[in-house]
Amino acid sequence: MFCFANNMAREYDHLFKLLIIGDSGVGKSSLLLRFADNTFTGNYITTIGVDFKIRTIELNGERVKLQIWDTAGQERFRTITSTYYRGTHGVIVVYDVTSGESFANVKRWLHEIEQNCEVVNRVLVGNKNDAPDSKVVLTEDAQRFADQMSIQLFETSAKENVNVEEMFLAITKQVLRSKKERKERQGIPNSDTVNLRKPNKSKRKFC
Amino acid sequence: MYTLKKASLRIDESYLKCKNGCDYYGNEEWGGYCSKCHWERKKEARLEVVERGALKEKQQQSPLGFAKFEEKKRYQSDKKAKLLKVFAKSPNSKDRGKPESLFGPETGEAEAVHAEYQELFSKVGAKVETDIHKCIRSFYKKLLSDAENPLTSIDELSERAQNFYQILTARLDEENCYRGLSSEEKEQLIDYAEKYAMTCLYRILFCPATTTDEDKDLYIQKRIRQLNWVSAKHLDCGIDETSTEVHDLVYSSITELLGMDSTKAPQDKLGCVMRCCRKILHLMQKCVGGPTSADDFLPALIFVVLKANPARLKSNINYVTRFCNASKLMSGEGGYYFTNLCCAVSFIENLTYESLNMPEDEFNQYMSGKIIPSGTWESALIMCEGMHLINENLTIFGDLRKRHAAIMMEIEALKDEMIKFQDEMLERVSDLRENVPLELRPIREPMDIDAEDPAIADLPPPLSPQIVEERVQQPRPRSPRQDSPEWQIPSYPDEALVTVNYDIDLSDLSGGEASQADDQPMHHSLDTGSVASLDLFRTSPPPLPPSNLSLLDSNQISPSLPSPIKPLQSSSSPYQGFSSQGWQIPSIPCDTGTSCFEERSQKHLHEQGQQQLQHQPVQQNNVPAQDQENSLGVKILGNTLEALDSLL
Repeated sequence: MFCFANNMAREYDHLFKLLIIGDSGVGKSSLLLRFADNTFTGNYITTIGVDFKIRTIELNGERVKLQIWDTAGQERFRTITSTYYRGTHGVIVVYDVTSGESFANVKRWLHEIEQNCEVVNRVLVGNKNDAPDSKVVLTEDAQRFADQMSIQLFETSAKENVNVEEMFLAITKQVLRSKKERKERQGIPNSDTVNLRKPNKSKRKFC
Repeated sequence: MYTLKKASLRIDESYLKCKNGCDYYGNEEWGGYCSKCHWERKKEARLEVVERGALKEKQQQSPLGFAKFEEKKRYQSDKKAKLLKVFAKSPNSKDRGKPESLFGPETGEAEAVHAEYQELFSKVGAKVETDIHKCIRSFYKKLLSDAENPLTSIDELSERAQNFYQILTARLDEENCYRGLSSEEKEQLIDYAEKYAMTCLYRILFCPATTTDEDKDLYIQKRIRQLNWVSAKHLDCGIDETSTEVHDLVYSSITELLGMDSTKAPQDKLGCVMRCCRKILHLMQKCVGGPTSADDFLPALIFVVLKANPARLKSNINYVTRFCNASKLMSGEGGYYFTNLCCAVSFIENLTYESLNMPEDEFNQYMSGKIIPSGTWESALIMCEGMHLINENLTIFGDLRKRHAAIMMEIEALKDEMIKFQDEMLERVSDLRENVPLELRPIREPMDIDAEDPAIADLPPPLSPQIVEERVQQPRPRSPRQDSPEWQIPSYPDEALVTVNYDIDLSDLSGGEASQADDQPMHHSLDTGSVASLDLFRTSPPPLPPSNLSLLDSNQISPSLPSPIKPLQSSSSPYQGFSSQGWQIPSIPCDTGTSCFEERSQKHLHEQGQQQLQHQPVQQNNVPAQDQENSLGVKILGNTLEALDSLL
């Protein structure tokens, strides 16, 4: 993981950067930990940090290397986290199904994405979906909202490893699809690195 | 969604437009101007650079030590700016002189970079090396000539650099000489090119005079100094300020962050940030007790940046942002941490009372220095240091006390042991004295065959050979081998020596001291030998005993001979010699602490004494040894008492 810069060998076909955003305490880190290390907060020892994780998955015979960045969800950091979005391919917006407030804040997070990225793939995740008694955000409400925003919804539980893999696969598929579409549109069969850079450079210069 | 978008547009539209009133959008980075207006303003600004430099020295005079350092740094960078102009007049003169090592003053460092990648070049071959150096050189020259032009902005230079990285990447994929290299090697080559070029161009590209980087540095430095009261609690980060381990990690992460300013290549700076952040992750893992999430990490990083107040922070960040290979910044671990650092810096820049969740007036009071919170890092640090020291000292004291108690106990035990030993010895000595009263015997000279001795008088005169002829017939049957060659006087003592020796060893020297064992038998053997020889002369030769029998045995065979006591008694005098030697035995002094040895030897002596007592009627020759032992015991006792006295 640490020798990433030197390990650009062809061990993958695509390299995507994903971002996990959402209020503090909704379980972003747990989702990341579950997906990358298949552990849950509570039975880790060796993991130092969960803020930056890499996992390579295979999708339709193509190896996709996912680089997932965790972000600080506190309110006071909201204005400064825009730098995280640079070069991001997909964003995972997380809320806590047992916290109405975190769901209400989803709107603000989505707004933030709009401001910082041109075109980006998103997925909405209601985490902590493992205690039906304390669940306050109903699936129907969330689904209605997701449809309205045309965003895919997943209800997951990092604790019980429910739907986590599916959710990450879905966002990866989205990112891969949009990459291919863009390629077709532009007609430039460029390598990953150039693709990563060009849209952002142009954005940085002329916005 | 729609309403949201609309709302934001309504608010921002006028704000986003260029300040100059042209129809383009402005940018915060360019001071709210659009790109065109910004460049124009910049051109004007550049003309005032020199004047500004003169003004700068007058501004901001702080009496603090660090401020002085700061000023010195500013002065140096101003000087650097001037030097840059001088340099710009003839940028290529040095290159022309040395076509191979072209990079002027930085040649040494560039060579160091080259040496670092030596292994890579030995793998990829000279052809690749030549080509990559050609690329670097052409890029260097181009950038240098661009930098020469004062109208070239730093962003243009940055774009050139980024283009160079891209072109190089493409070249590595296309050129023939690079074919067959693994993508990892290519990556390293690009890395090398970046490092080499940037090390050489550092003095031009880092914090150039054409930018406001330096002002921003000073602003953020001042700002961080103002915010020195911010504690981990204010930031809601779980740094445990009282733990030593956490302290050390905070310090080492601060050190790593400060190290950023001393490196030249962008990736080295990035490496510093990475190391710093990894330390913070470790630190938070210790504090939180689990893997660090970004929710914990970012506040901790902000805290570390606040406490570190790195030199030329903004310049460094801008330099990395502009000239580090963009693909590295956008992704990867280094990119992630660098992004976090940027976030931390921007948080500090925009920090308000709201971001710290405190009332506005309290915040203002802190900022103006009216209130100094008790819980600042520094005071906590001092407290902790003190507490830490006290704790450490207490541990040392506890340890010392334990050891002291142990020593006291040992002393007591030793005292008891010694008293016991003393009593025991006294008792034993008195016992011995009772049983064997000290009896001084006349000192006797060692027996000499030729010496005058009363026993000699008893011997038949060795004269009158005529008579021998007559007598020969009588004793012959009793000792037929008298004239045989074996019947020689010297051989007899030899046998006696062996056997007597053995007997004595068994009886009273088992486990004895070496010196005793060495000396005692010698006397015995000599004596018995001499006595035996005397006997031979004195009496008519007895029937020859079997060779392995001792003299004592032979005595039993011939009861007519004088009792073995007699010759042994006569050998009492040599014991005087031994006993005088024996006085030297306590050269193993008591006060060396080898009480166990003494005890053992004492025990041995005791046993010896008992044995001797048993043997007393049979072997009176042991009596002098007893005397010697008594005196030895007294001597040891004396030593022991002396040692006790000195100890008490």
